[in-house]
Amino acid sequence: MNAQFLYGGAGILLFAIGLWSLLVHESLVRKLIAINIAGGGVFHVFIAIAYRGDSAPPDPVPHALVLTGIVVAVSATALALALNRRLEQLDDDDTRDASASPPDTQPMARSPETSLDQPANGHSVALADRRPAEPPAASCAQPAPGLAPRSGGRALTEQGSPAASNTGSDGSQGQGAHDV
Amino acid sequence: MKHDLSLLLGILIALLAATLLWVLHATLSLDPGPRLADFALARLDESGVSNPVTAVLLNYRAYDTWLELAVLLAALLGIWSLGPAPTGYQPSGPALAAMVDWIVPLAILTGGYMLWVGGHAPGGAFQAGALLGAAGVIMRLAGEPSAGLPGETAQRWLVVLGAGVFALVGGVLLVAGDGFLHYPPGQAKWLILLMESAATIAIGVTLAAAYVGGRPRRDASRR
Repeated sequence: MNAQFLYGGAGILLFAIGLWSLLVHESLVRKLIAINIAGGGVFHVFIAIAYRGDSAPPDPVPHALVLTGIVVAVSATALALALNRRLEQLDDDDTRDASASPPDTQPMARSPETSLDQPANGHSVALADRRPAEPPAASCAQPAPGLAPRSGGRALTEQGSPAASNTGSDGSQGQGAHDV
Repeated sequence: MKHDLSLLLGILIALLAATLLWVLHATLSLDPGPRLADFALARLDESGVSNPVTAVLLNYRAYDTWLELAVLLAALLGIWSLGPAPTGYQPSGPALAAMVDWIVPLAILTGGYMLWVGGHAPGGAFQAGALLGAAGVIMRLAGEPSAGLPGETAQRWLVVLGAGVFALVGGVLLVAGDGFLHYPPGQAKWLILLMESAATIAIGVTLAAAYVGGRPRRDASRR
């Protein structure tokens, strides 16, 4: 009972931390990590409830539900990361177009987030392949309000980065934050 | 976000967590009463496996697992629809390459063991598939751009293998047997093993392909 409550209570705390982080932070990657932490907390609670004392075997149904949940969480996270990277590519194109005009509006840089998002270098070649088809899609994505500060932050990081030129031999280490 | 707003959110969520903790404590101190575990354990002998979790996943609620494989497939199709895969990482140095030469076969071997052991102990298709996927991730990190996966056509067949075999077995049983995924007595073990093997391969390939992060390139199978 005590160990069970400790484990389940830790799950509830994880859920609360994840929920708070999801609501407070703005970066999509941080939101994604927060959702995963909250989900992990829920799995903890399920496992704790399945425990039936040392004498009896644990309830297999919550265990199976947790296995199912892990797989769904992993695949949803993978899809969300891919969508996030696609959004960043569109943002990059926007800022590249905008940098032709004088850089009048540059929102403040948000260093922790941007450093999380930074390494987009490995995708430069893929970007070049698709470049001609981009403008309509980019204009679709533009009005989304949540994207405006991000593209500003990226403009700061991008000016010194080799991602803007498509020469592409630049290292792709550090890209791991993007892939699943 | 405003500082005081996030503080307010923190207080509210702390209250929510305290309430949930109290509910959990109250729930745990109650008598558990009848649970699904009793039904699951009572008919374990007929389920074809002796690990109750595998029995729930592959027998009692096999359609859940089938739909779960469909979720994996849908997620991968979503990733592929977003464009071609980014270029891989630079080739690994000799130390990492030597480690990968050891780790990847070991992961595949352990995956096979996990698949088999799932019948009577913790293990099964998801754990084995996760190991195969991890082998793919390691290979891509070490500079193999395709993560060890075959060409695009073969990949497409492999990722539908899991959901496909479930649908096939279910359909055959629906027509010729007692109902969708309702195994005939005595056959359950081999049907479960067949479906779990297919699911393992599909999960491993799907996870590795999701890590690659885009539609396979045409030259992906060659360096």
